[in-house]
This record gives sequence, structure tokens and C-alpha cells, in this order.
Amino acid sequence: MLLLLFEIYNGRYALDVNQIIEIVPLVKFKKIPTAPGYVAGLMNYRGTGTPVIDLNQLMDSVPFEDALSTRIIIVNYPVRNKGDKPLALIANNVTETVRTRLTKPPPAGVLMDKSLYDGEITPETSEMIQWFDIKKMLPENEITLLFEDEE
Amino acid sequence: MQTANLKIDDCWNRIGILRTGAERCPKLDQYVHCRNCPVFSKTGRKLLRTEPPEDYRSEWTKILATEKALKPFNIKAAFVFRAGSEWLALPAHMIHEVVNMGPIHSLPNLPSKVLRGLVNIHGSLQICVSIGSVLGLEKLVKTEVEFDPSYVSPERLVVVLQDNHLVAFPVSEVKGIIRYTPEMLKDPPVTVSGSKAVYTSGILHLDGNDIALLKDKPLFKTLTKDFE
Repeated sequence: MLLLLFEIYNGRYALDVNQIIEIVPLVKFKKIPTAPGYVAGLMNYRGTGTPVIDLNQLMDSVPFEDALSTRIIIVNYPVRNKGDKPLALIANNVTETVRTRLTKPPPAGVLMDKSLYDGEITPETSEMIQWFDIKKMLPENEITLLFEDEE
Repeated sequence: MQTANLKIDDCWNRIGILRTGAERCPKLDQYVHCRNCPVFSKTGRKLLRTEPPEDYRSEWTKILATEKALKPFNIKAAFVFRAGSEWLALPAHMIHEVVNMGPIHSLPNLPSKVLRGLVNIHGSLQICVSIGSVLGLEKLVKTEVEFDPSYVSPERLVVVLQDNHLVAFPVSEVKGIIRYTPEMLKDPPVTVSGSKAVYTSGILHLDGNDIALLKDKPLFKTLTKDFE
């Protein structure tokens, strides 16, 4: 399984690349006035207004890093009754992917750096990496509302 | 994070492969080149933690607002040649070789016009057939011209691999291999009838020429049916 590694504030996370449509640089967002703080706004992604979730605000209530390595991960988000819709997630340090022998999410939802690299590369740290489950880690009800206005 | 806070140790310039001094990084024994070294890639990634340049975000906002330009996919290759006055094409994968024209040794009691005879391809005899006879193409009548010693005939022998057999056929000229997508393939005009229509899967319009893409399987079945 190919995993995308990224950071949110101080934590490291891994996301299965099969859920990703595209990784794009930071763009400008259109603010949604009544939306919760972690909704950075809407971005025009290939012609459709796509909600942008600032993961730093959502998890740790801090703004995202204004850096080149802060990128937008466009994922396929399963919206209730509407099928998969593109959803934009802002994360820090989206710079690395690793190929692992994992075939399913780790039982505890946490990976050790060591298990990721399979002993081929010496891990940079002994930090734990949290499995990013887009279903469990994002507030489903509130995100569903963001897709409500679409016909 | 600010650019000023970034401390980059350019060890590749200091002790790595770009070093000028005598000191050599011990990791080079293991990684041979700095590009294989995790320190190098980690530092490279660190460089991305700098502030984006001005206009960067507005520029990308514009780019992402437009549809993604998809590269053409499902590209196929066709081998284009001329037989008489007609430009024809065959799927490129079946072309085994193109060799210079040599003498075609006719066989006595030829069963058909299709079989031209035998040709010498790298010392082994291969069957030589005529594509034009099956497609009903007219031969260009050679006009009597003065002998020109500098003239090199563009005629070639094309060797194709069909069902594990090599079959050769003479062509008037070889254009080469072109690439096309299925969308570029047009239906043959209705005015084309007879055997030419039977063996044509589509027309490619390229550089002002209409090239008939031939159906390789039915065509070679007909070409080789008499001597199987």
C-alpha cells in the first residue's frame, strides 16, 4: 500500500493514496461566512466549488503553515446519498510517500516509523504515525452540510 | 516557518560528491552518491518549508480553476507505406523488418497472383506476397525516364510476422511509423467498395495524405491462404 505522509501541527499522519484524487499547491479560498472555523472556504477545483478543510484548525486550532510544503490534498469523500465528492484538505509538509507492505489499516490506527520503512531505510525518527481515516477523523455531519447546497 | 530560520548544512558541497577539500563523508561508502542519501533528501524537503513566492497562490488558483488538460492516451502506432499510388498502414507491432528491395524469385505453377515468389531475407527464403493484388490496387506505370545514376529507388521489402511465420511484401515507399489515437481514425468513405473496403478499418488523415489503416488479420489470412 502506498501511503502519503503529512503533518498536522505536531503530529504525523499517513493516508492511503487510493483515496486521493490529486495533491495541489495552496490556492486562494472563498470564505463561507457561517461555516465553522476549520472550513477555510471554497476553492475552484477544476470548475467545481470544493469545500476546503484546514486540518490544522480542525485538530489543533492553529493556522496552517504558510509554506511551499503546505499543500492541498484533494480526496474522494463519500457524502451521504451523493456518492464520492472531491474534498480539499490542507496539511503541512505534504512531501513524502512511502510504499509499505500493509494491506489494511493498522489495528490501533497507529503506525510506527519503523514498520513503515520495512527496514530498508533507517527511519528519521521513532515517532508514531497516525493513520488518517477520512471517515472517522472528519466531522461527517458538518461536512455533509457543505455539500448540501449543490443540486 | 521563515526562510531566515532555515539552517541548511550543504554537506554535499562540503564533504559529499561536490567536495573540494580532502574530507570525505563516511556515508559515501554506503550510498555512493549524495542523491541516494537520506540526509540529502531530507534537506531538500526542508527547503520546501519556506514561504511561497508572491503571486504563487493566485497563479495556482487560476490554474486549478480550469479543466485539467489530459494528455492523449490510448495511443497506437501504425507503420505507413505506399503501394502504387495508395498510402496504407498496418499496426506497427506486426512489422518485423524493412529491408532493401532484392530480386523476387518466381515459382513455377503459381497458384495465384497473390504469391509473388520467394525472397532472400538474411540468407533464408521467405514467401513474398503482393498486397496490391488483394486490395485491387493499380500498379503505377513507370514512365520511361532517362537513366539517372543518382536515383535511389524508394522500394522496400517489408517483412511482417504473422502467426509465427515471416511474410514479405514489396512496397513502393516507406514513410515510417506514425502515432494516432482511435479518435483520429475516420470511417472509410462510402465510395470505397470492393476488397479495399473489406480490408480497411479506417482512414487516417495525416500531412495531406489519406492513409488507409488495414485490418491485418483478415488481410494476411487472404494473402497466405493458398499456401498454408
